[in-house]
Amino acid sequence: MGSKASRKTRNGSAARGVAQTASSGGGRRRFEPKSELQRQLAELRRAEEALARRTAELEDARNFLDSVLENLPVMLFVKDARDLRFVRWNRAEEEALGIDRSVAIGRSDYDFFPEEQARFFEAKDRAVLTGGQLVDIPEEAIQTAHRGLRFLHTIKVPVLGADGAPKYLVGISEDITERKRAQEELARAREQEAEIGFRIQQTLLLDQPPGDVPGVRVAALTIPSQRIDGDFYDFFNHNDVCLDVIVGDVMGKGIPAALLGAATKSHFLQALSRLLSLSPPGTLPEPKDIVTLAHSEMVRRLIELESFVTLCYVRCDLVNRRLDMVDCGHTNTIHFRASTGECQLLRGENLPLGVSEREIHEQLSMALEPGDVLLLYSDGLTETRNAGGELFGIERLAECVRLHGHRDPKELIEAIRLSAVAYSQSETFADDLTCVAVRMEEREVPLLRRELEISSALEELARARAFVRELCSGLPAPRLDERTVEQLELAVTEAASNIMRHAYHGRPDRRILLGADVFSDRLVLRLHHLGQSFDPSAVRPPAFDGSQEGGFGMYIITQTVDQVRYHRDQRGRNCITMVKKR
Amino acid sequence: MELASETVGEVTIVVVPGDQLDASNAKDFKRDVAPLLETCRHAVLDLSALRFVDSSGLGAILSCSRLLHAKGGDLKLCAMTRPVRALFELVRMHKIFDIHPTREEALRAFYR
Repeated sequence: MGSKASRKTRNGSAARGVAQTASSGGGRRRFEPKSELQRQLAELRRAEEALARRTAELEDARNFLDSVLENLPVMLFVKDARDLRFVRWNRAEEEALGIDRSVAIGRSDYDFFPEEQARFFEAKDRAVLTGGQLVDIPEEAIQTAHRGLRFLHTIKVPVLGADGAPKYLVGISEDITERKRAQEELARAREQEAEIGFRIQQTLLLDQPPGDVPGVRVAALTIPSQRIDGDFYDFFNHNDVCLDVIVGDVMGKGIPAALLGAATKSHFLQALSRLLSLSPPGTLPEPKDIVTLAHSEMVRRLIELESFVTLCYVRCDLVNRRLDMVDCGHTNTIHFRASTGECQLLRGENLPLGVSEREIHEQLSMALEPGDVLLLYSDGLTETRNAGGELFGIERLAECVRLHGHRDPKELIEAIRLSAVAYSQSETFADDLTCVAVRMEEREVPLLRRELEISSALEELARARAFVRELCSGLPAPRLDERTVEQLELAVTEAASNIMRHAYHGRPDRRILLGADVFSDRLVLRLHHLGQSFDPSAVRPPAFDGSQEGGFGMYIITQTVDQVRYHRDQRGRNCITMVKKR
Repeated sequence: MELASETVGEVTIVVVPGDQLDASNAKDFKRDVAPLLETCRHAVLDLSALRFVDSSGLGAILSCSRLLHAKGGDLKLCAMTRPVRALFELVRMHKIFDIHPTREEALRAFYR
């Protein structure tokens, strides 16, 4: 507006100048000076016209710039470098923040944003102005008048004056709230899928290895990857005579693979129970028949789903010390022979499940001796890569088994895990890492075996103690001293009371089976129940300062016996097994 | 649960009956001992009859002590049998409780 007004004034004064010249005209004598004046006036007029044209041009340019800035789809503001007050505020800015330019111009951030946000903006502004360089702010929160909290991506640029000092600060922002929300949504969905997959894996795909089968020790390891692989394993204990182990790997990843793994397990359980019901008493169906039946039930579905499953079904005959194995395209099973200290790779010729509808499965058999170890695993283990991209490989794994095969399966598996971690230099893996170790043991026959069933009423605790006392008094030599008997009474009371109060939630009409096996060097007490299982790792250590009245039970058990395990027994019941050395 | 008690000055002596204090009777004991402790400042629990205490029984005894401490009183234990002593030592409660061989010594300890 100011420039327009001044232009009018100049035009006006120019016109008056012309009128003056006209009125004073007439005398010839003064022609020369007059013409000189006229020349000057004409020059002046030309200059004024040029100025007017230039001004008009500038105004056009300014209008053009105004219209561009005004209609930019991104938010744009300009602040005065001295006091950081807004001097420009475009329409996108008005719309996005709900603040009209009439409000914004001449004011600063402190006038309409919460103080914390305003301070953040000011700090960034000062950084831009003192640094004299563009600053990119990938994300800043801003409280808008009408749309709540929004997130902006902002670029701030200093504009320097002729003297090189910052004169203005230009800010250009883009509202990234929706994009940010979409990204968060996506991340949440991914996380949720991983969580569901993990739950499926923990509940459906992976079982606790059986801990109470005489003549064999089993340990399993699973390290889930970011995306579940569908690795699974399962164990069937046939009355402590044979232990079947299945380890499988479903093609693909994520929830579909996990569900397919769970379905495969259930087909095997069904096939086993169907064949068991058809078998003469005292005999077991052959692994190859179980695999063929389970496969025939699921092969069509697998083909339709364009998926397949590699699997190894292993039966350890604990009495006849024999291994039967059906390998369906799975990773080579490693057989550590205690007698030679060497490893052998076992491999069958069957196709993976879901490849051929008419597959008849073949099985391999060989002798298993005490101390022999079988290692079953998924390819996630052997395909672990080091920094150079090389595979961990089966040779390295077999070497690990050869070195640690004489140790307890739990320690062997931990050695394998450490080796894989050291190789990949990472605690997390691209694929699920699954591995099961089975070690044949000398089979021991207990010297004495006793059982007692009690109800879950707290009054039965005294009977549980009496059972222990009676067992101890009838032991073949050496006898236990009184203190040891008292400790066992205490341990069995705490374990049974935990089951009654927590596993059965105080219901008095449930059953608890007490079992005791006496060996030459130890006494094994078991409490089987069908209540809720409990996780000993979730129990906090007790307070010893008298500040708490409860929480001592588990601690007392660990202090009174040499070993305690919380696990599933072969019939699916929860079991607390306590071992006391003699 | 029948609780025999006698009061000597500010101290009430309660005899814990039966030979066991476990999860089956700890709650009853806690419930029935509370009124006796309400009316006194200090107390002595006579544990001479007890042959077995589990973590729940221990919890009940701890609750007696807390009850008295809350009102500025104190609890002492006496005549603890060896198996009960073993449990107290197992969970380090022998360091928390003031334990005396006899009632008289426990009583005397209040007036020292």
